[in-house]
Amino acid sequence: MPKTKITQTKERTREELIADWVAAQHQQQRKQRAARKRPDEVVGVTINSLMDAMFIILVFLLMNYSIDPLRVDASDDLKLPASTTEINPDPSAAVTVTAKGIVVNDEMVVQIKDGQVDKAFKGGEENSMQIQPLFDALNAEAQRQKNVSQLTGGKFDGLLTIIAHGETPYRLITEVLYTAGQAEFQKFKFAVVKGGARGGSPE
Amino acid sequence: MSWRNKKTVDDTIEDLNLVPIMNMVVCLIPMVLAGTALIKVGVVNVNAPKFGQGAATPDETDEKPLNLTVAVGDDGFRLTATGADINQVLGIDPAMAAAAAQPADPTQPPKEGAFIPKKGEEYDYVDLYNKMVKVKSQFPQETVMNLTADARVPFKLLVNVMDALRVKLEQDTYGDLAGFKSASARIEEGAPALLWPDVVFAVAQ
Repeated sequence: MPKTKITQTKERTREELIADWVAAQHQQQRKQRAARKRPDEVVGVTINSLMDAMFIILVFLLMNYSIDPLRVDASDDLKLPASTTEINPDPSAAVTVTAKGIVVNDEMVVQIKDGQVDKAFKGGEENSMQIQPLFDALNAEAQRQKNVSQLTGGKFDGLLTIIAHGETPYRLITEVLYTAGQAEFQKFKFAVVKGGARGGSPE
Repeated sequence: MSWRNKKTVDDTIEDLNLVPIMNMVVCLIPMVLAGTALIKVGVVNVNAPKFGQGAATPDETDEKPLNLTVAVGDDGFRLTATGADINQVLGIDPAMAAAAAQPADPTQPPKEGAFIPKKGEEYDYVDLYNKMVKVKSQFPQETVMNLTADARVPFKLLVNVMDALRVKLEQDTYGDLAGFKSASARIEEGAPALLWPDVVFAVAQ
């Protein structure tokens, strides 16, 4: 090829030929570079900065998630009342009172119907305040905490967090408190949603 | 042959394919956000309730404890105290107090204490606050308030009562709900001035 080219362009100077050759070399290099780049271009848009930001957000959220001592999964059966309180929850045993049942350590211990616990579960008596399955569960929890505190040299503080549905009747709340008191829990904290207004929050 | 293989292996090395990880992260973030950021959970401290006629703790001083009780009923709040005449403390005329104590049903015993009726459908938290500040001004050392309610009163009403009476606000009395809602806590010696912070849940016998 070069030979024929030379014969065709006899009049061209040596400099022109060199310039042609250099230009051809450059073009080839550019093609090669483009070919090498192509796989990158398939991934396309530069998402690296976005990735960084998202990863940081994810780590931050996960940290918060694990630090939170109290997890409440709100639903129609468990709407916490709003309050103006500034106190943060402490890690402690928790009893959840929903519209359908009482839950201790993720286990349903007794069912609630129309805001009441069936009389069969109340230590056999009509007007008894003690909810027997709840007492059994809390008593086991208290014993476990006492054993742990004995081994670690701490003290059983008798702290119980109660996560109660806002519509729970007062009678049921007192029954839960009484039962917890029988199981040697003495200090109670009620979980609420922060940011309520004084004088009743609008629904 | 082997040389060729090496060459092809070299050619396939590229950047990590981050697309699946990206997908996962994009899915995880809304999930975690929905789970945590929206609800900020706090707590309200409540002391162990007194049940039945438990022996009262003997007081070293001769002073009788006030034993102030706020009862939440279907029709309003009722303030009672065993340590003092609540109507006298609030400056309510005895004749009016006696008339208010007379129940509509004559077979029922007269109701004790000061009554704060509902305003329409709403409980009157403003009047409750005004009256409780008055009681506090005469018994500045008292911090314990018994709280009780009718059996069917929902628990969130009790939280509202505790919110209304936890701290002193800028004024001692408020005329309307709007002013009461927008008021902020009074600061005394660098901390909010407490009104009736120690709540004991009691059961009406």
